Amino acid sequence: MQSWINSFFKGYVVCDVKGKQIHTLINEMTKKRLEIWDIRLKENATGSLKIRLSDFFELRPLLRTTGCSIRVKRKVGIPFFLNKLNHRKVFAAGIFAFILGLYILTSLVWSIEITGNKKMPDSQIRGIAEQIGVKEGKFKFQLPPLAEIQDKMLRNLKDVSWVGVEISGTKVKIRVVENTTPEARQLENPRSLISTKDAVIYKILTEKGQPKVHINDKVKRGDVLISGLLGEEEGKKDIVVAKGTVLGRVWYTSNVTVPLWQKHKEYTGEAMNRSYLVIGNRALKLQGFGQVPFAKFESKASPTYVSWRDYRLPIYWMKEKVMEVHFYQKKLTIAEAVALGTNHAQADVMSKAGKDAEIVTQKILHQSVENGKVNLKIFYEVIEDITKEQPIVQGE
Amino acid sequence: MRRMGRRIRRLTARVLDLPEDVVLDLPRITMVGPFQVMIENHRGVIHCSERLLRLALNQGELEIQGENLIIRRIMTEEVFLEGTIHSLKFVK
Repeated sequence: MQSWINSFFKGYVVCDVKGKQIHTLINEMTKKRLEIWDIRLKENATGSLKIRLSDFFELRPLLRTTGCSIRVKRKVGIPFFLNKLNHRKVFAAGIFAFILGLYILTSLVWSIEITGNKKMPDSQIRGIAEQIGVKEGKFKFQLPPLAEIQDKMLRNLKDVSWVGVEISGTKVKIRVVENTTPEARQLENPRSLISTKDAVIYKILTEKGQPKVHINDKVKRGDVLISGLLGEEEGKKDIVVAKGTVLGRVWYTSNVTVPLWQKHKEYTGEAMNRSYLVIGNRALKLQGFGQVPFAKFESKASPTYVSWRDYRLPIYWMKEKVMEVHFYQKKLTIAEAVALGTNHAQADVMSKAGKDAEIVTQKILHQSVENGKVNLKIFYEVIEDITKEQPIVQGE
Repeated sequence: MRRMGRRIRRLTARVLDLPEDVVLDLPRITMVGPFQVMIENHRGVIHCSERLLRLALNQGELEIQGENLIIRRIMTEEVFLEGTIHSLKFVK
């Protein structure tokens, strides 16, 4: 029926009419094609109607001829709103300035995000981007077209197979896909492999070089296992990088002492919280006053610092948790002590032999109990890698 | 004479399938329940109030009685009325 939006935008007035000849008035208005609606007339020569703002001013002559009076009750529409706005120009200007400011700020590049780089440092990519003209603080329309940025970045960055540049909002996202290069082989100097320990050769596998020992040979520390010097004749020797695996049997003897009475520490679960406000060097206790109710205790402090970039404020909050501790002694049986001792010894041997070593034999040579302690002497036979590089100096 | 002319006109309208209200200059009244009524082709508002609306027609008058009658739209030849309508009378 009526276009509400239209009448709202252009503005209309709600008025009360009074007079005996209201009907004539309405007829006249209709004849003059004034836009009116929602006409309610009451018995007592009063009524209300809504009339378009632009037609309102043509009412006056009609009112005179019909002898009716009109009073405006309500004003609706954008024109009235604008009128009000005129009285508050600064407010309107503020809104406008805000919108303008927002628009300008969002047209800047605020951050550059770089993803996909594993080997290349961010700073390098950022540097190249800056050279092309992509950096924070620049207006978005100042940047060169995306295709151009991508092209230039690809040309300037080596080891990169693809660059994707995308502007989403105020962030410039740069995606980099690096070239997959096979791992470069480590440069190796010409060398021989010699033995680290006294051992009996268990296995020898030569990849490069000339092996100097056989299986079941006894070698001493420093003996050459795989030589980098090839050729038997004097004066005509090829120097290579010796490579290979040599495993040998090594003997270890461990002495371990395990006390029978073990002291254990246990948290009972009872705790007390204390908090401090630390200013500079002083700590101000804020919570947890009074003496600690526990006989024996341990405390753990966890401070929470406030930092801005790299600068840390000298004021911080520290929380301390005081936990009650209970010491008790536990007596081990001899078997338990022995087990504990052997575990220790094993760990010790493994650390000496290397992580790929294998314990072949474990024998307890001597076990004695005295003074509440168990003494163990354990023998181990371990198979381990006994090679060590020895570089060959030219001219030898 | 007038009646004869009228009858001929009516016949013509029917035969030629023309809408009678246009040919015969009669008002068209569309009602939606007892709540809305639209009258086209009237000759002016004689009286209007909350309970009574009197329209002038080409021949005679139309009287509508009801409660809370509001003229939603009024144009030269059209009136759209809303409210609770009790009765509609043609008055000569």
